[in-house]
Amino acid sequence: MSDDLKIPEGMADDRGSTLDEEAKATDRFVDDLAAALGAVERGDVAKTVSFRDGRTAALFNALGENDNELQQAVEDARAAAGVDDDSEGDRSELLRLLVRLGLNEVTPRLADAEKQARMQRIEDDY
Amino acid sequence: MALKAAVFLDKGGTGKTTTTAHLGRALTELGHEGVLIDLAGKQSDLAKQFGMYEAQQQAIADGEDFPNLSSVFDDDFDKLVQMNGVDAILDRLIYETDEGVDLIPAHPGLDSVDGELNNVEDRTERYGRLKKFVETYLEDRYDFILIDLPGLSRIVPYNGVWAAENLIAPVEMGSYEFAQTKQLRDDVEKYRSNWGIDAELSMVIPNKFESGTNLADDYMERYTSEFNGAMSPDPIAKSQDIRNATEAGMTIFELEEPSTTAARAREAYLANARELVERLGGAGQ
Repeated sequence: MSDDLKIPEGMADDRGSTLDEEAKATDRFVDDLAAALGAVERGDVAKTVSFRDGRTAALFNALGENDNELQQAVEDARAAAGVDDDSEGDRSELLRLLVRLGLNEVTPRLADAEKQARMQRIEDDY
Repeated sequence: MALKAAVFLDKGGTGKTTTTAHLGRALTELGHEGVLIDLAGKQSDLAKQFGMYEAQQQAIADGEDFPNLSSVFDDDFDKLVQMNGVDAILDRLIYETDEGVDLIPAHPGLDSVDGELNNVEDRTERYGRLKKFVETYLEDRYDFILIDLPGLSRIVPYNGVWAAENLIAPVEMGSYEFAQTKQLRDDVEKYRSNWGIDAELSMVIPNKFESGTNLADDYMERYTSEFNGAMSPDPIAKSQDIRNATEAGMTIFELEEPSTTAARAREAYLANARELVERLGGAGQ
């Protein structure tokens, strides 16, 4: 469609092909993510995530022993994430919320890709 | 003089896109011709709301996406228009939806606009590009222009604030949103004093409202006493149908058999649209 347009010199450079490549790379990632979501739903991939970090392990160990601190942290994380829930939280929820918030804040592209992948999964299902 | 407004709150999930789409649709129902501009991110939620997402994504995949919304932020945009004529450019930029309102959808290219404008030293150039586009090319063609802004304080959304000046905040009945709305009102004062623009918090619309619950009624009272002149005449009822319609790629105005809550929400959008015209003027009046 844009073939018949006259484009000022320099204007087209930052559109079109580079963006197309970026968009295609994002599409591939979304496809992979949607496939991974399917694998988790089928039970082919575990729903748990683990990582090695002594300081975080110590922090969560201590939170397990100090419920007031844990509940306060859960409440703060829920407020930041806009979650309206006043039930008792646990360490798993806290970690989950913190990771979600981190994804949204630091790597919105990943959070966006994940949202697209979930939509894609829903569309694939119906 | 067209009615211009931007839907904005610094928090996600309050229904900014739904509000933009439904207010636009309500203004159309009232006989006004308008265009919606989606600055809210490349997920193109407004295009989804009007069932145009696939067509737009196909255009991007086929390389038929130039010019697009990111192009209007380019300092050579006017030159592009001069070289090709205004109609040729606007025809490619603006999509006609099935619901009577026009749409300039979001584009992945918007992602890089913030970085590009960050290097522009002149403040009017940096924050005023969308305003210039709206005033030069859209104002004479439409009765109203509504802009859906992302919930972030960055250069592209600020362009939306400069272009629209009137801000609409959809809010839920919660303490976090209440604080955010108060913050927005303070920010608007800063926009006025720092930038010398005529920004105003023109309408606060309670969204996903569940009448009859103590919490909602309490918050309604707090909002009304705090934002008295800016409150919308009607809150928007919480309705599963709004979600269903959105997922089906339409607004609730297109539902043949709306639920009671959807019918109530529809009336509320119409009442709020009428009030918006009353408050802001324009819209072909």
